[in-house]
Amino acid sequence: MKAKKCMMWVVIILLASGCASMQKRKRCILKSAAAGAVMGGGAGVAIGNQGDTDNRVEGSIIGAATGAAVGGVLGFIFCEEEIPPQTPPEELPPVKPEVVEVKQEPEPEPETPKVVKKIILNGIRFDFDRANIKPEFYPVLDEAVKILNEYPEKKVIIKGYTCSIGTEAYNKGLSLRRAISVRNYLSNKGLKPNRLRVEGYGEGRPIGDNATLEGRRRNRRVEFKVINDE
Amino acid sequence: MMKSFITTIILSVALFLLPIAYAMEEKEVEKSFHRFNQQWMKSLHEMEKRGRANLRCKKVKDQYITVYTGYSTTYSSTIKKTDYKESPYIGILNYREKKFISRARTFEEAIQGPFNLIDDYPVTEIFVFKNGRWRY
Repeated sequence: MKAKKCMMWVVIILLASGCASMQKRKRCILKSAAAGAVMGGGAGVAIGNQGDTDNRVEGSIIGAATGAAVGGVLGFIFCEEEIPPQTPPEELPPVKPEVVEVKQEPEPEPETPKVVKKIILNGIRFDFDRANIKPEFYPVLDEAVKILNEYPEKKVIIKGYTCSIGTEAYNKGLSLRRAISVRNYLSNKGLKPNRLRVEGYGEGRPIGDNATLEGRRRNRRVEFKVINDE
Repeated sequence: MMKSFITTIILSVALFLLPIAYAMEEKEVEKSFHRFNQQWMKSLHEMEKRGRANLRCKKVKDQYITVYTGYSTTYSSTIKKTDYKESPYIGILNYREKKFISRARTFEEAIQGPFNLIDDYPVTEIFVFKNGRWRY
């Protein structure tokens, strides 16, 4: 009996003290649960007092458990979500106006197919130096599939990009392998493979500054271009 | 008898409150996505400015051609709940991308403009919400 009581108080104290390294919200939920446990335990003892000694102990345990559950739920609702401040997308440094003249004999410009729609997948992460997509990014790809299904007759170019870490040739290969991974995912979701074309640009066409972490993040991306290719 | 009655009441209240908790969380995530979008669109317009300040000229036959990319000032966004615990929400941002072109006989003239709109298409950016923040 004493052991049961002791265990209950240990649990309550642990809940109340929480872990110092926890986030503010989690601590708040734990405190609510602990308060609920104390109140529930008290109520349980009070109700159990109507019966014998065993009822008191049992009542305090049941009361503490339900009190903790209710306190936890209430804490979950009312403890404020702590959303860390978002790092704003990088501010671009001012660039001196510059004109670059292409002096080589120009090649005749190929007819650029008209872009109907562009989709950019942000935050897609692959395992380091690998091309397999992490499951946590499936929802992003699934959403892209939904959009692409709105253009069933159009061709889609899947463009892979990397940051500048690594050699240019290696990054080109890596970006292509990643674009192929994405194509395979889309095919498995029912998109006709003959609609899909892959291109790997490596570190080419950066949209962020490769000198910063944020810039490199922006550069590692996959884009889809839905085109009129008639 | 009394105990089980109290337990049932408490559990019913808890089950009733749970969906409210989820709805409140979704609202917070939506708010954070709106804040994130404002910054994102601002950075796109910065990029547009940089592009215009750093025009590149391409000589094709007897002409100098300059192109830059612009972005609409209007945009729309939404969030969606997913079935994945690690990435519970995705955010969808829609805006338009525009390509402007200028052609002239010298590159000085080409960068002066006027620039004509040659392409204008919708863009959808998809972001994932993971560990309490929007990833890109």
